[in-house]
Amino acid sequence: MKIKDYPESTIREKILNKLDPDLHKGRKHDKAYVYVDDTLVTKVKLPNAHSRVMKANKSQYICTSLRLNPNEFNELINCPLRGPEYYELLRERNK
Amino acid sequence: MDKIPVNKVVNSGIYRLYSGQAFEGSDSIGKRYNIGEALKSGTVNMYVQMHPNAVPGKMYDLGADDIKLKEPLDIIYKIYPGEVLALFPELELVGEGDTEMQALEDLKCEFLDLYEYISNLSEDKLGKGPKAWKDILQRILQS
Repeated sequence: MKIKDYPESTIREKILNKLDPDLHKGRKHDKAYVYVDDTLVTKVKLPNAHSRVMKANKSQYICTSLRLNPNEFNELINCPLRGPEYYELLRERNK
Repeated sequence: MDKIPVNKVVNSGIYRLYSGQAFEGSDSIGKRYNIGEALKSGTVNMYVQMHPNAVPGKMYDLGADDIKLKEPLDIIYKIYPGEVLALFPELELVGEGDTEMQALEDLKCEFLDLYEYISNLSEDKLGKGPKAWKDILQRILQS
């Protein structure tokens, strides 16, 4: 399955709300640093909170940064993948 | 003049027709042009691949007074219609913009943001990937 097109604000909001990462104000873009068991495992560049649609050619980098496949990324943004389930996946992949 | 097809298929890739004049400015890449007018002017002479072109580039400086590159870095530009990404895959950094210059500036900010964040973390807080990023940053940057 391909990554769907989502508004940038939706991607940003879902990552912040579901994953509760360490939000870091960047020079141009904010970053979300993701920790598992108090260890930094990955980072993601957050889109700004505007309504422009992000195409897969760009969101693929967010998907990869989150260590998700396209299907899992769609589930994260669409809702079925909840925060605790995401961290379970990440824990598995970080072993 | 023979009629030139607007979209041409070569080896399964789709190419969009551009005028040579339009292609000269990087700002013009991906914008639509009136092919009829361009044909009349006789400047239509180039096809640009619709799929992103990956183009190698160099980064010489980070634009910061206190943090310098030890040597120029190889980066990759991905040019999409209307958007350019600048990539440094080893650190999973992506800069973006309407032009190569904007994407490069954004990529520099990504380097500085990552360096600032990660250099303040102790080793025991870093997972496998972030530990590798820190090593790479220490090899390529000096402050």
